[in-house]
Amino acid sequence: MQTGRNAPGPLHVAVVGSGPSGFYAAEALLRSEADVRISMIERLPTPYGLVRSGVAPDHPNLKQPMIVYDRIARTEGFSFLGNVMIGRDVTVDELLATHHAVVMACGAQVDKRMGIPGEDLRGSHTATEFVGWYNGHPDHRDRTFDLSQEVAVIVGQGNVAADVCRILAKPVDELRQSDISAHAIEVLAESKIREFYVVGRRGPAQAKFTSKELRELGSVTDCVAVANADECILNEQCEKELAERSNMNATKNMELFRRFADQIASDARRRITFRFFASPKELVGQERVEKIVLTRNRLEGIAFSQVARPSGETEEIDCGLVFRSIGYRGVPISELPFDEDRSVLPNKVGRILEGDRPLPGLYVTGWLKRGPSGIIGTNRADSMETVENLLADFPSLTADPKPGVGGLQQLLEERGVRSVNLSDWINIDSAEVERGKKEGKPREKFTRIDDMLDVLADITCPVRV
Amino acid sequence: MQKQLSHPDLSGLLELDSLNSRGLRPFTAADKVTLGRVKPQDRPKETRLPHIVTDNCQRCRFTDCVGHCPVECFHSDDERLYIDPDVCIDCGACIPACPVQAIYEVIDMPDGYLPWIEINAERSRMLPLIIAKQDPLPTAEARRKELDF
Ligand SMILES: Cc1cc2nc3c(=O)[nH]c(=O)nc-3n(C[C@H](O)[C@H](O)[C@H](O)COP(=O)(O)OP(=O)(O)OC[C@H]3O[C@@H](n4cnc5c(N)ncnc54)[C@H](O)[C@@H]3O)c2cc1C
Ligand SMILES: NC(=O)c1ccc[n+]([C@@H]2O[C@H](COP(=O)([O-])OP(=O)(O)OC[C@H]3O[C@@H](n4cnc5c(N)ncnc54)[C@H](OP(=O)(O)O)[C@@H]3O)[C@@H](O)[C@H]2O)c1
Ligand code: SF4
Ligand code: SF4
Repeated sequence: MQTGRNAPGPLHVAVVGSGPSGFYAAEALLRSEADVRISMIERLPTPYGLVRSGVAPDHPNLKQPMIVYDRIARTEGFSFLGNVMIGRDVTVDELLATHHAVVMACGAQVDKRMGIPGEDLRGSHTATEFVGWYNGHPDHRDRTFDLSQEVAVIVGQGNVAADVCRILAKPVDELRQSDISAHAIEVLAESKIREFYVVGRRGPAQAKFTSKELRELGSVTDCVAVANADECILNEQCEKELAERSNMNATKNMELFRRFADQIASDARRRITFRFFASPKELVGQERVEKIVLTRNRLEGIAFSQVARPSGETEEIDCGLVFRSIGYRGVPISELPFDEDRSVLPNKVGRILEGDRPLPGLYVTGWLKRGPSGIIGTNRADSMETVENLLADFPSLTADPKPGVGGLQQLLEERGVRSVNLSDWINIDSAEVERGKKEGKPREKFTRIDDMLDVLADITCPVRV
Repeated sequence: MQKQLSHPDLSGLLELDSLNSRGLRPFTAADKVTLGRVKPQDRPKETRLPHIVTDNCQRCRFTDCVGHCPVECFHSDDERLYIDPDVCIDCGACIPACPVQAIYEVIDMPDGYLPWIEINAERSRMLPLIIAKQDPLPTAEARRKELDF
């Protein structure tokens, strides 16, 4: 990029959201030759999005990108403004008035619904709530989960379903030294669940687990994984899918499911049963969920586009808990167009579109750009693409000078918004680490925004960065 | 058999200088140790299954893998890439990104690939870090065809 060299002033970019996609967008911008200043806006006082509030506590390795993000945050030209929500505290228009470009990186904040009767009965939960709860996300702090039930059904066969099942199935002692929230440990320690059904609407060859996660589900302490051998018989189209070299993950998954199907009797305390070809039809119960009714499916269509079609039969599983884990959805942002079907901001390689026309200065990346799929690293390549296009627009963006982060801060002060800057976050972070020490945990998260802000009120000598 | 390394051409790889001037240092194995300020031996047990670049990565360097890596693991010589096992977090993001399936998690690697573990560890330590996707080598397309991908 040569463009930056002779530009009049710095390019001020507001990045909304501090998850992986936001940080990788910041990284790509800071690595370019353009003179860039970044204001990263985050609705929580804490950064890192789903790396903090999604990635499972027993996968500490996968949280290490936080160290990379910490580096990015300490880079010259980067400002963090936590506890500021777009749509509540400031508008996109106001960001555009103070910055040359805005990159929306808000992720997918809510869950997809099954759309069936009984979905809101007591005992029916979403993976979003449960994951947010055990990971200490303030939105989900006060949820309650009655784990005194013996049977739980998990609908969906993606990696989030695997996380939910594993956290519930693992002996709680194996979680105590992780950064899981203390309130979750208390409840999990009392769990009576012995039986898990993990239900997919299509077949074992279409399960979305990465084989690594599936393998791990098959090796939980004192827990056995089983599958039904009949459901592991594949049709011709499935065989075609597996023959495709790029579909190695499905081949590995099939090996695992077949191994689970061969499982001989076990005296393990808990059991995970994988069920296929079954869609949720109804949740039934008086006061709370008592059973789930499933429609049996068969697959129709050609390899890689096979869909589940009801076969007419139904099946019931008695259960006291249902967790749906069938995907996430982006939240519309007022002032911006929204694609309801894909639950993303309509865009072309990252430029936000109104109809066919790119909206000047407005970009999107991450789950809000492509939809809720892909792992942490996927967002890096994705954000590089968005930033490449942003930088290509550089000459048209920088026509007028803008105040950047200073202008935004002034606006927030006028409105009495207590924004959290990088040194504030470092103080919250240190306080969490300190709280965790007693129990030998890497940290004990604050789970209420007020508690986070109280840390800052108590600090007399702020950390300088 | 390993080819003896001549000095690799580093032009284009070391964009690092420009980032260092802003304080964006690369991620290193030493950083991992400090995560959450808990000593590694006190952290919850997690099995390490390193990821390795193997045979198929040759004369191509499409480097799609690098763009997908959430931390900074990839090192490169003229011919291929290597993953630093001490930095890799075993997330698997690079596996589907590689167009010629050169990357394996050790548990899934084909028979006879054992030596690649050591090759990745050794080479990555002595070669420069590569952070962003590069233009593929001119031989890349031919190599992809040769491997039938
Ligand atoms: C439960 C779960 C577990 C996962 N585990 C793994 C894993 O182990 N390994 C892996 O590689 N990937 C994992 N993933 C996938 C990975 O987390 C995602 O690919 C990634 O986080 C998406 O990045 P993002 O930046 O687009 O969104 P997010 O990470 O969701 O970040 C969005 C950020 O924007 C903020 N925000 C939203 N709206 C506003 C607003 N209006 N104003 C200001 N800020 C706002 C949010 O608070 C959030 O911090 C997991 C995903 C989930 C759901
Ligand atoms: N450890 C990790 O690496 C990790 C951990 C967690 C999450 N992640 C990533 O985060 C992303 C999101 O994960 P996810 O699990 O939420 O999504 P996902 O992988 O897309 O899985 C969603 C599951 O729900 C099913 N489903 C969707 N709609 C349904 C409906 N109406 N009825 C019944 N079933 C339905 C899907 O089946 P169909 O296939 O039939 O649509 C699929 O099995 C993924 O890319 C995942 O890999 C990674
Ligand atoms: S994408 Fe594959 S072939 Fe290309 S450089 Fe990476 S590992 Fe090598
Ligand atoms: S497995 Fe993940 S961390 Fe390791 S090299 Fe691949 S992308 Fe990087």
